[in-house]
Amino acid sequence: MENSKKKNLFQVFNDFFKYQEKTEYDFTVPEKADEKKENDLTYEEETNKKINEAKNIFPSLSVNLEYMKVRYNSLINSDIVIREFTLTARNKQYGAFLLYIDGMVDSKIINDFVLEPLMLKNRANVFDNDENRVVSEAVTNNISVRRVKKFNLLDYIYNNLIPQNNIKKVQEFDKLISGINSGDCALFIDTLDTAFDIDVKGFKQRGVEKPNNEVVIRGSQESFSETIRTNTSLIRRLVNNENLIIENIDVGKLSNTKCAVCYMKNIANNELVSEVKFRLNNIDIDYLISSGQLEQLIEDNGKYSLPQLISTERPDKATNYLLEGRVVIIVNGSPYCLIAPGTFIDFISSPEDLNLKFQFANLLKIIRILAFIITLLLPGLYIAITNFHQELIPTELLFAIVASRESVPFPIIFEIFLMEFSFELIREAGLRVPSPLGSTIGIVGALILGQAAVEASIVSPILIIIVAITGIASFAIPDFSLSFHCRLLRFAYIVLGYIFGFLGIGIGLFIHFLVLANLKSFGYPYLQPYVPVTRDYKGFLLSPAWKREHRADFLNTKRPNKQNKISMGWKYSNSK
Amino acid sequence: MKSGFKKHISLFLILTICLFSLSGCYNIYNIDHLAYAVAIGLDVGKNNELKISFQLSIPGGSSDSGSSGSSQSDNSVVNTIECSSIASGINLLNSYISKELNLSHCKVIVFSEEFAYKGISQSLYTLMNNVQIRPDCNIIISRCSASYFLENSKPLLEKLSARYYEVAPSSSDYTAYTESVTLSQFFSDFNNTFSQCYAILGGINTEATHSTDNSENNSEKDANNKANETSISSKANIENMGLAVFSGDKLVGELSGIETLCHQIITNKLNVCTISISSPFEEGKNISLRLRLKDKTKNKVQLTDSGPYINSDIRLEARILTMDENSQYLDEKNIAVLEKYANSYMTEQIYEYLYKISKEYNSDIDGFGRYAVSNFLTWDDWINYNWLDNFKNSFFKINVDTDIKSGYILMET
Amino acid sequence: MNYTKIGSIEAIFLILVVILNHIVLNLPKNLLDACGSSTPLNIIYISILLFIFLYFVIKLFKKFTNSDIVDVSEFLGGKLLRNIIGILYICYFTVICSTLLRNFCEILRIVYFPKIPIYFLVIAFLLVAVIANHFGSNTIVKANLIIVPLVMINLLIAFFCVAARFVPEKIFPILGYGFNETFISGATNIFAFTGISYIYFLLPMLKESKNFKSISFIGIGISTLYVFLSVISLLFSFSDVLSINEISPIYFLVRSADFGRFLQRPDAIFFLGWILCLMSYLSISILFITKIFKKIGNLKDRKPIVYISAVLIFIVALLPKGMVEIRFIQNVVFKYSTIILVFVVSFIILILANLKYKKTHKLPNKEGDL
Repeated sequence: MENSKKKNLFQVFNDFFKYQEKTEYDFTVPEKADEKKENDLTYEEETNKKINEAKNIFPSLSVNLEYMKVRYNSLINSDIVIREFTLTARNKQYGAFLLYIDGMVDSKIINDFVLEPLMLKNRANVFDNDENRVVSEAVTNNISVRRVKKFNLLDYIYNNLIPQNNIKKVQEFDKLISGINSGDCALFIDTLDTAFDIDVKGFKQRGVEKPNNEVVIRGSQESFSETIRTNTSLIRRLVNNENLIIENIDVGKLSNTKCAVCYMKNIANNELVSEVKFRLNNIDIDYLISSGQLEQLIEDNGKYSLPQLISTERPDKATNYLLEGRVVIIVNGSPYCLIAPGTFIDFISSPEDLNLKFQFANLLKIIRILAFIITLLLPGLYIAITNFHQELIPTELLFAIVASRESVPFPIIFEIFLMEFSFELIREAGLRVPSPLGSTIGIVGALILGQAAVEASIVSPILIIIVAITGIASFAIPDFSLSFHCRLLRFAYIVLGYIFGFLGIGIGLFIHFLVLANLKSFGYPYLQPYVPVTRDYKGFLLSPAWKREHRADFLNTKRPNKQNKISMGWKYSNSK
Repeated sequence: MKSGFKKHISLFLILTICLFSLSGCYNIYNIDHLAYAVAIGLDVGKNNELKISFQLSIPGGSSDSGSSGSSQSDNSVVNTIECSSIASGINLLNSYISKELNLSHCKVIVFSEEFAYKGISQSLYTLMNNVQIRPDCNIIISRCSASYFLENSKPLLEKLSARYYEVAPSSSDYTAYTESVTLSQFFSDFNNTFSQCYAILGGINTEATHSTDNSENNSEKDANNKANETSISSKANIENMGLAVFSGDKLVGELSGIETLCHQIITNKLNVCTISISSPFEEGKNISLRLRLKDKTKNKVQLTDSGPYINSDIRLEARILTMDENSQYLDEKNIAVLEKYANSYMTEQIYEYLYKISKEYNSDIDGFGRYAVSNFLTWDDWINYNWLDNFKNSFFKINVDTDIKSGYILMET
Repeated sequence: MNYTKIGSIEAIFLILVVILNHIVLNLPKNLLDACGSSTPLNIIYISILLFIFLYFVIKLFKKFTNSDIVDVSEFLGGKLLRNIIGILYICYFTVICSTLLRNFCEILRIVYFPKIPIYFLVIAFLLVAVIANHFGSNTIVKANLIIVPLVMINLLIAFFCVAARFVPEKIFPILGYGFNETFISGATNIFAFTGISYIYFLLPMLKESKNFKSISFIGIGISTLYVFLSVISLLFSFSDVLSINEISPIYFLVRSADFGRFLQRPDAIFFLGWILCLMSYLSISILFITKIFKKIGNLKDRKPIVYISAVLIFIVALLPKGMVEIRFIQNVVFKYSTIILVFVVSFIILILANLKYKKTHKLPNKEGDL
C-alpha cells in the first residue's frame, strides 16, 4: 500500500511538472504561391478545359449520364437525384433519365406530369399502322414511290407525351445546367441530342409579408421577398401595362445570380436603360449575394459614402418610380430592389408622401431636411460656439452651461467624443440584444447611462441633450445610407469646429457642397432640380395631387406630361 | 508601388497638418476659462487717473440656489481697480482673478458724473474699438460714483444681475421717464454733425437722496425728479430716471423725468406714458392721462439771420385714467376744456425743456440738425454753418394738439 | 469640352459673387469716402453709365461668337497682344484676389483668432480653393449656385437689421462733397463693378450664347442694386461712417444688430455666409487664372497650373505688411487698375478688333466687284 501511495505521489509530482506536448488545434491555409504544385490546375483552367471538351448534348445516353454525374459531383452531392427509366414510344423502347435537385422541385408534378405519362402505358403509345403518314405518292410505270413522314421522336414526345406547361428543348449543357440549378428538371433520352428542360419548381419560400423597415400608415403593406419571380409578379400586378419590360441579366461567374432590369418602354430614357444594362453586364466578379453588394458595384462614385441608388422593399414605391421613368433592378435572393437614378431629394422623401395630402407631406419634408442639418451640424456648431463664439449664446444659457460644467474634468472635445461613441455603441449593441430585452435595453440604457454620467460629473447635462437630439434626428432621415453618411461626417464637423470654429464649419460646408455638386447618379446631377436649374423647380416641395402635370424634367423621359391641365374632370366638366 | 508611395506621402502630410493644427494655438477662449463681466463702471481715481469697477458674475450661484431673494454676494462680485487706462485695468484684473476676463456679455457701462464732466471720448473710442464689447449695451451716467452704483445694484425681482440690467431700461417703453440708450447709438450721435449725444441718468436711491423739493403743486413733484430723488421707500437700489445731456464728449446737464418725456415726444420715440395735470373742474385735484403719439411729430427748421427757427407740430392722443364720484369727464364740453388744459400744460413743459437745452446747455439732443441740413447743397456749406454751435440762437414754435379719446373701464359715474 | 458649359442662372451668379465679396469688405466705404452723402445719387448715375457701356460691349462682341477677350486680342494683334492681355488679366485677378483674401483674413484674425498666425488662415482658404479646382469647373459653378443665394439673403438681412435706426435725412446735403465730386470725378466710382471683367470671359463658357445679353444685364443690374442698398444702409444708420475708418463697415453694421433679447451679437452667423462666399470667389478666380494660362501657354490640361496659381496668390497675399498697405492697394491700385484695364484697354481692343473685322470682311467683296 505504501509503495503504491508513494508511487502515486511521485506520479502526481511527475505529472505536474512533466513536459506536455501542446494539443491545441492550429490550422492555417497554405499560401498559394508557395504550395502550388505544378500539376494542379486552377479552377479557371479546369472549367475551361471542361468547356472546351463538351458543349452540346451527346446523342448517347450513357455518355450524357457520365457527363452529368461528373459535372454535378453526384457521388458526393447528397441532393442530386438521377432517375433512370425506360420510355416507350411507338412500341419502341428508349432509355431515359431525369436529373433534378431535391428540395427545389415539386415532386408531385414530376410524378404526375412527367414520369406517369412517359412510363405508364397509354393509348397513344400503342403502335398502330395508321400512324404512318403518307405525304405524297407518285405512280409511274407500276412503280409507286411513297414519301412517308419519318417518325420524329423528339417532336412526338414534345408535342404529345408530356402534359407539362413549361418545357424547353435544349442542346447546350450550360443552359440545361443553369435551368437545373434554378429548380427545373432535365430529361435525357437515348439517341436524341436534345434534352428537355422541364419547369417543376416547387421550393419553399417566404411569402409576401409586411415591410419591416419602411413602415407607412396608409400605404400598402406588401413587401418584396427573396425570390425574383415573386417580386416581378408584384410589380407586374401594380403596373398593369404591357409596356413594362423585365429583362434578365446574370451577374457573377460562380453564382450566376439572376438580376431583373425593369423599365417602361414608352417612358424611360433609352440611354439610361442602356447604361444600366451596360454596367450590369460588365461586372467581373465571382458571386453576388445581395443587392447591397450590387449597389456598390454599379454606383458612379463610392468614395464619398453618399447613396446614389434608391433601395426599397416596397413594391408600391418601386412602381411609382418605374412609372416616373426610372429603372428598377431586382436581385434574386435579396428583398431590397435598387432604383436608378437616385438623387438627393429622393433620399429625403418617404413612401408615405404619396398617400398624404400635400400640406402634411411638405411639412414632413421640411422636418426631415431639418433633421438632416441637425444630425450633420449640431455637435460641430456646439463646439464651435462654446470655444470661439461665446457672444452668440444668450447670457443666461451661457451661465447655465458654465455652471453645469463646473465639476466636469474633461475638455469639451473629449466629452463630445465620449458621448458620441457611447451613443453609437448603444445603437450597435441594441441590434444584437435578444429580442424580449432588445428595445428596452436600448432606451433604458441610454437614459440611465446618461443620467448616471451627469450625476457622476463625467459629462455636462447640456451635452447629453445635444447628443440625444442628434441621435433622434438621425433616425428621422428616411434613407438608411444617408443617415449613415451624416453620422459619419458629423465627426469630421466636430473636429473642424474644434480647430477653426465657424471657419472650420464653413470649410466643411463648402467641401460638402462641392462633393454634392460633383456627384452624378447614372449621369444625372445629384442635386437636381436646383443644380443645374431646370424648368421644373418643384423638386423639393410636393405640389397638390391635381397639379402634378409633368414628370421630373431631369429624367428626359419620352412622355413628359403625366396629367392633363385639368386633371379633375368631374369638377370642371360643367365649364365645357 | 507608386500609388502606395503617393498615399503614404499624402497621409504623412495630412498628419503633419493635423499636428500643427491641434497644437493648441486655437483653444484660447474655452468657455470654462473665462470670467464674464456683466457691468463696467468708470470713475475718476486719485491723481486724476482711472478707476474701473467690474461686476463679475459667479456662474455657480445662478442655477439651483435655494435662497429666496437674491443678495448680491450670491451671484456676482464687484472688483475695483485703479489704473491708467482701460486695457491696463483689464490686465491687472486678469492677474488677480483665476480666469480670463471676457467682456462679451457686458450689459451696462456706467460712467460717474465726475468722470463725464471731464470728457469721455478716450474711453468711448477704446470701448468701441474692443472686439468683445457689445455695441448694444446700455450706457448710464450715475450721480454717485460708479463703483457705489455697481455694488448697490441688487436685482429685486430677478436672480441674475445680467437679466436685471437687460430688462431695467426697457421700462422706458411704458413710462417714458428715461430712454434705453445703447453704446452704438451714443457713439453714432457723438460723431454726428446733426445732433449731440445723451445717456441714461442713474443713481442709487436711498433715504438721504430723496428730493427735498417743496413745491406746492403735487402733480409736478412726481415727474420732476431726476434719478435717485424719487421718494420710494425700499432698500437702497439703483434708479434710472432722466437723461444726461452731453455736448461733445463732456457732460453739461441733466434732465428730469418730465423733460425726458418731452424729448421723446419731439423725437417720435414715445411709446406710452402717464402724466398728471391739475384738474380744471376741481381745485387741488389731479387728473391722470395716458398719452401716446397720434401722428408722427413734424419738425421743420428754417434758417433765418437771427438763428434757426424751429417749428414743431405735435399730435397726442390721451385717455383718462382717474375716476371719481360724480365725474363726467367725457361730456363734450368737458372734453374740450380738458383738451385745452392738457395742451397748455404740455406746451408749457415742452417750451421749458426746449429753451433749457438750447439756451442753458446748447446741446441739440433732439437732432433738429437733420431737418436743417436739407437747406444746404454741399457738405462744406453745412460744415461751415456749424449747426451745433448755432443751436443756442434758435427759437421755437410748438403746436400741441391733444385728442382725448375715452377713459378705461368706467366711462362715467 | 461640352460638359464645361454653364447655364444662364449660373452665369448670373458668377458675376454676382464678385460684387458680394467686395461689399462685405470695403467697397461701400470707398464709395462713401469719394462722394459723401450724395453717394446714392452717384450710384444711380454710375449704373446708367454702366448700362450704356455694357450695351456697347455686347454689341461689339456680337461678331465674335464663342471667343473671349483674349481670343479677340489674338485676332487683333496676333500672339504678342494676346500674351500681353492675358498676363495683364492674370496679374489683375491675382492682385484683387489676394488683397481680398488678406483683408478678410485680417478681419477674421482680429475678431476671432488673435493667436493664430495669418498664414494659417490664408492656407486654409487656399487649400479649399485648390480642392475645388480639382473637382473641375462645372462643380465650382454649381457649388456657387448653391452659395450665392444664401449670401444674398445674408446680406439683405444685414442691411436691414438696423432699419429701426435709419435716419433718411442723412442723404442731405444732396450734393455731398460737391457737384464735381459727385458726377465728374465721381464717375471713377465705376471701379466698383469688377463683374464686367468676368463678363469678358463669359462668352465661350455659355451653353446658349444668345442669352449673353440678358445674363449680363441681369447680373450687373442685381450688382448695382446690392451696392445701392449697402451704401444706403450704411449712410442712414451711422453718421460716423464718414469720419471713421473701420475694418469692415458691414461688420460694424451687423455688430449693432439686435434681434431681441434672445439673439444678440449674431455676427458669427453672418460670418459663416461671408466665409462661404469668399471661398467660392477664390475658386472661381483660380479657375479663370488657370484658364487664361492655358490659353496663352497652349497647354493641354489646366490642373497642374492650379497649384502654381495658389502659391502665387499665397505669396502676394502675404506681401503687404499691415492694414495700411492693404488699404492702399484696395483704394488706389484696385481702383485705377480696374478703370484702366477693364474699362479703357479692353474697350479699345474691342473697338479696334471690330474695325479690323469689318476691314477684312470688306476686302473680298471689293475684289469680287472687280
